[in-house]
Order: sequence, then C-alpha cells, then structure tokens
Amino acid sequence: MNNTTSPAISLEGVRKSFGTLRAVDDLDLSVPRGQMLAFLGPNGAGKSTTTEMILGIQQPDAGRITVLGQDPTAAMRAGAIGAMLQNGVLLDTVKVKQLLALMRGLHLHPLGLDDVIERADIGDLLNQNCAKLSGGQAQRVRTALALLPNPDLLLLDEPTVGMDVETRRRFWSNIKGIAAEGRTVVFATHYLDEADEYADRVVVIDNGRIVADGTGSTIKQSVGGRILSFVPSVVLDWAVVDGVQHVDRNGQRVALRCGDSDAALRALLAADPAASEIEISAARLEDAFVQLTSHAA
Amino acid sequence: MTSTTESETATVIGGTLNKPHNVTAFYTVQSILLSFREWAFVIFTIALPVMMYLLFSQLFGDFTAGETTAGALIMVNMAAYGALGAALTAGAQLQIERRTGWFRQLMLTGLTPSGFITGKIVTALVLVLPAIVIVFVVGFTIGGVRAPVHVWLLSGAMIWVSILPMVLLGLVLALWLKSETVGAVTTILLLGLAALGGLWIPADMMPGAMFTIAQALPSYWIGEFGRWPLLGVAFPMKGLAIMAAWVLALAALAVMGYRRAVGESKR
Repeated sequence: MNNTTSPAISLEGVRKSFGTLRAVDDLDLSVPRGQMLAFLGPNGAGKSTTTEMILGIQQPDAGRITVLGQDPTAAMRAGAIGAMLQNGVLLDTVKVKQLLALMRGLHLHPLGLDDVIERADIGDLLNQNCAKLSGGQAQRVRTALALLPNPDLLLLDEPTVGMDVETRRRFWSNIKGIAAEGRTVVFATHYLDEADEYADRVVVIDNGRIVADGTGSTIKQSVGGRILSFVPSVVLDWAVVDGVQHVDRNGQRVALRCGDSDAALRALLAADPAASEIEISAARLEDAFVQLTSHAA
Repeated sequence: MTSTTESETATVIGGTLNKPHNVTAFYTVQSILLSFREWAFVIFTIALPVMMYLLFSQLFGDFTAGETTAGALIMVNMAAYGALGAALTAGAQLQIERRTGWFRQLMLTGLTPSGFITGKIVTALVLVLPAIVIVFVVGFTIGGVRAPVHVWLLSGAMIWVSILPMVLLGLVLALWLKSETVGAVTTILLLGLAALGGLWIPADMMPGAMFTIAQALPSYWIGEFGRWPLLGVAFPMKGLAIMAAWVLALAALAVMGYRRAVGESKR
C-alpha cells in the first residue's frame, strides 16, 4: 500500500536477462522520497532496463520492485509516476496543445494544463505540429508529458539530449523547482557535470551492477583526490613517483592521479626539474566514471 | 489503494480527478476522432465496395431471389465486404502504435490494457459504419433497392454486430505479425475471406468442399446474417455458434499477443 514511509523506489535482488545477456544482475537499490538521484553508466550498462522495470514495462526475472510501496504497474496506473522515455514518441499528426489535451485525459489526477505548460516551459510551442519540433523542443514537450500525471516520482531518461546550453540551464532550474515540492526525481544522463551539479546522490551502474553509490564528491574521492598533469622533459616510469595511483598519457602530456598531490609534486620536481606546464586539479566525476567502468583495466 | 494515492497527491498540488472508466471512454473518443482525420482511409473503405456493388448490380441486379431481388442481396454482400475490409484494416492499425512506440507512451498513463483494447475495438466498429451506410444509401438511390425501414435497419445492424470477429482478427494480425507484413497479410485475408465467404459469388454456387469451408468462415455468416432480414427465412442459428467460437479464439489470441507485444515493444 502507498504509505508515506515506504521508499520512492525499492529494488531487491533484481535480475533481468535477455537470452544469454544478463542486463541487470542482482541489483539492490533504495531511493528515499524527495531525493534527486542520477543514474550514470555507459551504454548497455542496464540503465534503461532498470528504468523500464521501475516503470512496469519490463518484468524482472527475479527479485522484487516496489514504487512508493506499490507494484510498479499499479503505481503507474494511479498516476504516481511520471516518465520521460529516451526518444519517447510524440503523435506526428497533431499540434502540441492537442497532444497535451489528449494525454491529460488519460491520467487519473492530472495537473492543470496551464501549470504543466509553465513548468515545462513550452508556452511558445503550443501551436507547433509535433512532427516539426527540434530535438530540444521535443524534449521539452516530453518533459511536459512526464509532469502531466502530477507524479510523486519523476523518471527522466537522458532528458537534456539535444538541448542547447541555455535551454538546459532552464530545464534544470524547472526540475529543481519540481523536486523542491517534495517529488522524487531520478534521471539517467551521459552528462557527468549534470549528475555532479544537480543530483543529491549518484549511482554508477555497469554490467548490470552498482559499482558506486554516493554524492558526486564522495565518488570523486573514491578514485583519488587530485590530478597532477605536466609535460615531462625526461622519460621516466611515473607510476613509481610518491603518492601516484594511476598514470594517463595524452600526447606529450602526462596526468598522474594522486592520493597526495603535494608529495607527488615534490617528487616530480626532484626527478624532472625541467617539467613544464604543470597543473593540479581536483579529480572530475568523469575521471571516476571512466575508472569505475573501464573493463580493460 | 487508488483513493489513498489520489488524496495524497491532491494535498501536494490538488489535481482534478478522473476515474479509470472515464480514461477508457476518453481514449476511445480521442481514438475515433484521430481516425476520422485520416480521410484517405475512410474513403478507401467505402470506394471499393460501392464500385463493386454498382458493377455487380448492373449485371445481375434484376433477377428475383425469393422475396427480394438479387440487387438487394448484392447490396448487402457488398456492404458486408466493405465492413469486412474496414474492420480488418482498422484493427490492424494497431501495428502503427507498435511500430512507432506510441504504445509504450500509452503504457505510461492511467490507461489499462483492457481500456486500450476496448478503445481500439470500439474505434474499429465505428470506422466500419461508413462502408455499410454508404453502400446502403447507394443501393437505395442508384440501385433502386426497396424494403421496409425495419428490414434496412436490421440488415445493417446484423452486419455491424457480426463484424466483431473481423476487428479481433485485425488486432491479432497487428499484435502477432511484423509491421512490414501486416499490410500484405491483411489484404490477402480480406480477399480470401470475401471470396470464400461468398460475398462476391454466392456460396451455394460453389462446389461441395468449398461450400463446407465457406460455412466455417465468419465472412460467410456476416453475409448470411445480413441477408436474413431481406429473405424472410428462419434465423441461421448454426452461425451463432460458429461466430462465438471465432470470437473466443481470436480474443484469446489477442490477449496473448498483447502480452507478448508489451514485452518486446520498441524502445
């Protein structure tokens, strides 16, 4: 039943295979209500399959999924979930406002049209034919469709693909407003900076398993604190330098991931006093992501 | 359960409330309106049976057939053929939703699978009406067919009601076949059912084995039911059992096909 203490999403031991491919492998995840969570993972990691199981479109082979304490399909029918599918289809033959009116009638307790139009920022698109929208405009319309049911849980699969920088900034500002009303927001993204900037919690998924779960900064720390990069003047095995955890080369430039960048810098200058263009930066989420999901390593 | 959700969400923003059956009704009405925007489809369902009626009734219309004329029976047969085509193709329209993925979008709403299928069936039944009505109107005005009002109404209603298995067959094709093959298979089945069911050439003129096959087909009974009010004979009860068997079998196939289609619908 839909009591307010049950988590927004609960996955327990969820598995899903397609033939011999294990898309989701024994996944456990609990998302408290009101959280803004980012799903990160390379293509084929199992994000979309997991999202579809949460929406009740796919059924797990094993394990248990509840959404707001209910079966996912029941929660969907009751209008508790709003979802924005990747490349979700819009009806080609109608105008945006007709599409909104049509979809609004299919939800049990929809938001008012004016409200949705304002929140999804689509006032300028109402008289456009759905077939003629640009990629970013179509994403805004899909956002509106996701908000229509007045959902407690909003699931967004790659929401900002095709949006320009300004549209993207406005999109996130709208979504933050929606989340501030106490709704749970879960989004999958390829833009790591979006996950870092907007999510309370980042879950990195790879090969159908969770490989990291925390805030953006704790995940960054998990791979090592700082990146020391420079152009060397001598050839050395930089991995043996004090404090260095990992070495990357990019053309002439060498990047050292360091637990203790101060010690590494002193050791570097002792070993190669002529090293040039030295920079020290905080590890980016992208570095963590690449390390967590690189299978070759 | 639902009421808890509604009241809880209502405290957040206070939305208006729909009931699940309202959702089904709303979807059905919208689906009908969207279908009638496709003028070409509607005209296509009418044009061929009207032309065939005019052709056949010119050739054979003046013969008498029991209490009525061959022209009246040809009119009923062509109305049944038109209805058959409209029902099959309207049911098969579901493949568009499958192909485009609109199907998945609908699954993210309050619409239930049974509500969705109900909407599709009712829409197809409405799309069948123009073919029946227009062929009858052409029969009255150009063909000079005359009969009491209640006979017209009963004949049209019999065709309309007995078209249900053909709507289900269209749905089954759309749910089970690849979208590229649906159109071709629908056309072949339409022609086969119309010909073998005796809608073009009377089934009792067929050789024995073919006549036996004809009597197992729903298209034969659609014609029989439609002609019955004009002929003033006993109601063909045997047809009811055969039609019921078709409806049950096709409905079961449609339910299985729907579950399968949901599982593998396009991303």
